[in-house]
Amino acid sequence: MPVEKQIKLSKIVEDKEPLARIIFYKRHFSKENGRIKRQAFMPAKDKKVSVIRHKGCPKDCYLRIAERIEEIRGKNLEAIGSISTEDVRVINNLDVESDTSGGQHRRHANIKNFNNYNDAKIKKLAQELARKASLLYVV
Amino acid sequence: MNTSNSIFHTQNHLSQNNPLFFNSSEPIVTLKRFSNQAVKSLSQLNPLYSHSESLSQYSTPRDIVVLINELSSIIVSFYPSKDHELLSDKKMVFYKKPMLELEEKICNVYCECQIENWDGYDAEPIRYLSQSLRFADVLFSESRMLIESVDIIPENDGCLCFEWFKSDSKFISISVKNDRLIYNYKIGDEEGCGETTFSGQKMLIEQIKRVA
Repeated sequence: MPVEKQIKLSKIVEDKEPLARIIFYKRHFSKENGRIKRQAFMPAKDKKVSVIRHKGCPKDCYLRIAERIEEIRGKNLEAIGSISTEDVRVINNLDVESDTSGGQHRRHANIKNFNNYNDAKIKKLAQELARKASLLYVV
Repeated sequence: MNTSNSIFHTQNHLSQNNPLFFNSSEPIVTLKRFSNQAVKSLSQLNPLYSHSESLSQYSTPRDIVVLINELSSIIVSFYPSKDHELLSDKKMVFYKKPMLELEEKICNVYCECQIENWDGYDAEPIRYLSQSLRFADVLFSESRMLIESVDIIPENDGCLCFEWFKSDSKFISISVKNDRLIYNYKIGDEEGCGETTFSGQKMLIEQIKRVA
């Protein structure tokens, strides 16, 4: 069983840190052209997009985290997308914050600040995130 | 299921008004009344209906369409009347014809996403099905080309999104949320996002034509 490298993660998510978005729904990405669709980056009801900080976390490591999230969320992993924190922060005033509350994984973080936007703008922001993201892994 | 079941009555009749069916030579299937027998048959087809006692519970267009989708071997499509006569449990008229690929896709995506948390992030079940089918009708009546290149993608706020995507700098997406059409497009240097209603769809159709 691969062991996650226990690198220290700062409380503040650094600009250079890559973020993984676990995708559980097959129509939210295209394997054919390697595209992630904006629906994969739509904020949840809490107006946040849940991501994993995968700095220093090779494939076997992030897959193991994804498996754990699969169990918690009761869904099968379909793909994993990746975007840099810096690319998130240049989109309007979106930001990334570490979130390990409620038993979340120590690498868990949220993309936040969707609160003040209407439906159309939120979808546009999600489109921007998807445009800057790339497919890291497809099942 | 047997098409000669007494709950079904077929007639040879064509819709002259609906552009979707102008070439159809298939009969209309008239469902005179949903009986308990029909409900029992439906419950065997789809566990969603297993606890239903009467079709009066299927009181919204989306329920009816799910039902029709399940019966697709018999009734492959339908045309909802504008005054929602379809909601009557006394008489419902279905037009038998090859289901348009787009309608079928819409229904399939809709059915896939009828449970909470279908995306693993607490997504709402997809709603606004009749409105989405209505928008599909609009596209079809405008140009067949528009529906050939469209992708249907469910969204976690309960919308179905119609997307035409050529590249990151040439795309348009339209989400149907009740009677609102929420759009987002980028065509070269031109981009926009906002929302309109079905009465304002003409502007969107023009943009779709530029991408499709």
